[in-house]
Amino acid sequence: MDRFDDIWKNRFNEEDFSESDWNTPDEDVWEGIIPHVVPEKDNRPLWMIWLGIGIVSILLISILTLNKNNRISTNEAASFGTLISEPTESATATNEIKNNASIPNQKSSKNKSTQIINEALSINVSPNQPKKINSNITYLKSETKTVYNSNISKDIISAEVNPVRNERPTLSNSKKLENVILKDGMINKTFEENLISIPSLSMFLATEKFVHPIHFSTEFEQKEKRDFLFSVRAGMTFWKHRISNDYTLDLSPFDFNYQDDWGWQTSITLNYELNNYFDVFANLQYEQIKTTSGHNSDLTYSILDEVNPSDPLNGYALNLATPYGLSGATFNFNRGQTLGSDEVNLLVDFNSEHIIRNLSLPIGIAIYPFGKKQKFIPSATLGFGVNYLAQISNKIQSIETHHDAIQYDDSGSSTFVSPDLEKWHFDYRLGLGLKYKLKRNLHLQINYDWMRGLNPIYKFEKYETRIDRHQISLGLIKSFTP
Amino acid sequence: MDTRDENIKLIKDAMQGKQQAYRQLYDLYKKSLFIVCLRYGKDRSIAQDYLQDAFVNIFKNLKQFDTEKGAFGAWAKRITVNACLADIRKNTLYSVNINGAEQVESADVSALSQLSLKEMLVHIQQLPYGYRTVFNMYVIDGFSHKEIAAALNISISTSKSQLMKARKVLQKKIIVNQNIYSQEHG
Repeated sequence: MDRFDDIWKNRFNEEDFSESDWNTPDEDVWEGIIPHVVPEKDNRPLWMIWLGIGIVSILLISILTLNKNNRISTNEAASFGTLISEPTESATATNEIKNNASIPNQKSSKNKSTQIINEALSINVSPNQPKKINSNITYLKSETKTVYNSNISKDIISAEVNPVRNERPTLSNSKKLENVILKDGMINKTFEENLISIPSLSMFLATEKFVHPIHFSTEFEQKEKRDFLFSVRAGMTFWKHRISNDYTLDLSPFDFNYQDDWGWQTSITLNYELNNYFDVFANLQYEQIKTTSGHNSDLTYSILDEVNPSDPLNGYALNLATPYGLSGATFNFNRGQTLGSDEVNLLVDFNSEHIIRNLSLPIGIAIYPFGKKQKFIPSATLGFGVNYLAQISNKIQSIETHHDAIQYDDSGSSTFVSPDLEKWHFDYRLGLGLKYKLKRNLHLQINYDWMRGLNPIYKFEKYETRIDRHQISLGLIKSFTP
Repeated sequence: MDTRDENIKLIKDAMQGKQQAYRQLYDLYKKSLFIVCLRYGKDRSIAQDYLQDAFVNIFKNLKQFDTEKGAFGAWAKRITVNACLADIRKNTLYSVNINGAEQVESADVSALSQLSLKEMLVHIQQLPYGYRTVFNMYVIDGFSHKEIAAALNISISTSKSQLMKARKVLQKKIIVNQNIYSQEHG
């Protein structure tokens, strides 16, 4: 065939063709090109993706900032009293602690925590006599109120002033902390303690000038606090196809149809508790959906094209119209009876089945409008999902020839996927949930999530398919502190 | 300034958005690219649609063409073939019969050589779209069967069988044409 092929190749690849009517396009071709010469670039999908990322980022930053401020809540301050210490640079004394072992609770205190025994606080002070370390330093032996402050300067282990029992706090403008005990066991500074009235807190926070809000909480509260939530969920997912009008219109002569359908999904989620009202979460989800589509096509069965008389069949190659693009397929028709003519024109109905496997990795925030202390905890979520279309498999489900003598032979068919699939796609999602407290660290959760596809999973020129999803899931949540 | 330099200048002008340069480029290449479209389309009307899509894509992607490397004509032809294939792929729900065991005697290549370009084109246009597309891609435009299979969503064996069928049909047509010519000229 080389010589035969070469003639064709050479003739059609000649540089110069003689000008004549048959090889000159009409002028209106150029007129059709002109409007596209300076095309308008449509960046909307990319825009929307960045918008989604931006919104979630801003929300996360806002929530994190809010959370930081909430470390000193007015409620907590009112309950336990709040001290703001603002050290001055005027170091006046350096006193060695003579008996470190006698410092109460120091070893049991968490790292970075500060034990502050304040005369102004009405706390359970031991009736035991304080142990004198030296004339200026007084430590309570036991049963002192432990005050944790994770934000205080790490160098400070504890500080105290002379305790006075059973007195209500009296907030004054200036108190002097007589002793500040540092990690190295040395007292090398005298701190000017400014006890500030509650309304002034926010102003202090804003300055961030060596501001150390001290969070008073009981040991019980410390145990109640959980930093992470791990949940396992499973449920149903519904895929709603948003197929471009151009695609459905162009395929309408073929009676193209498709089905939105339910599938199943499972996921694992890790939440990080920011405070009583907000979490951030990351999730890994697997979904599997089975949908169907169909259309018809004109086909001709020709006896002349049969492989041989003992095996009367015709093989065909055809593009199947699916919600995920035009996908190639090959199949055979068998002839079981004698035909009245050499050729039969058929109107054939195709039905295809599509199995889709999708992985998604959403991140976002969970909002608990009523906090997390109740038995039933409602929540709302807002997130952004990165999805990977792990697989779409097309399969010919049935082919109806509407002809008694000619039947589809399902043994010889093969199918392909469209090369125009977008493996990576993105979504933004909103959700509503309700948690029920089973045990102290265990919750049952039911969720509804709605996801809007930001970019198409199939795109070919003006044809595209996007996916919106609805999910209902049930799961268990275990809370833990690392 | 030689032809190549003139072309490069035109391309650079077009890249800067000069409408006149677009028109000149179109006039320079419309003929050769229209023949490509005529090969892939079954008639003139479809070929003109292909040509329009091709030039839109050429002008949209002009900045991707490196004037230092390769010839503009070859680059434009590749885009034109892709435009034809894109249109074929989206508009072909009609199947092609991939069987066919009929034997055709080999055509005399000298008879083929005597055909005009227009006559050869008509023979190609009369092929079923599947045969025509694979024949064009493999024989004239130099695609491999693997590339054809990927571009058309078909298997490699389908591509091969389509090519075989296309050759046979073309040989048959040339023989018929030759016989008619012989009868007419005694």
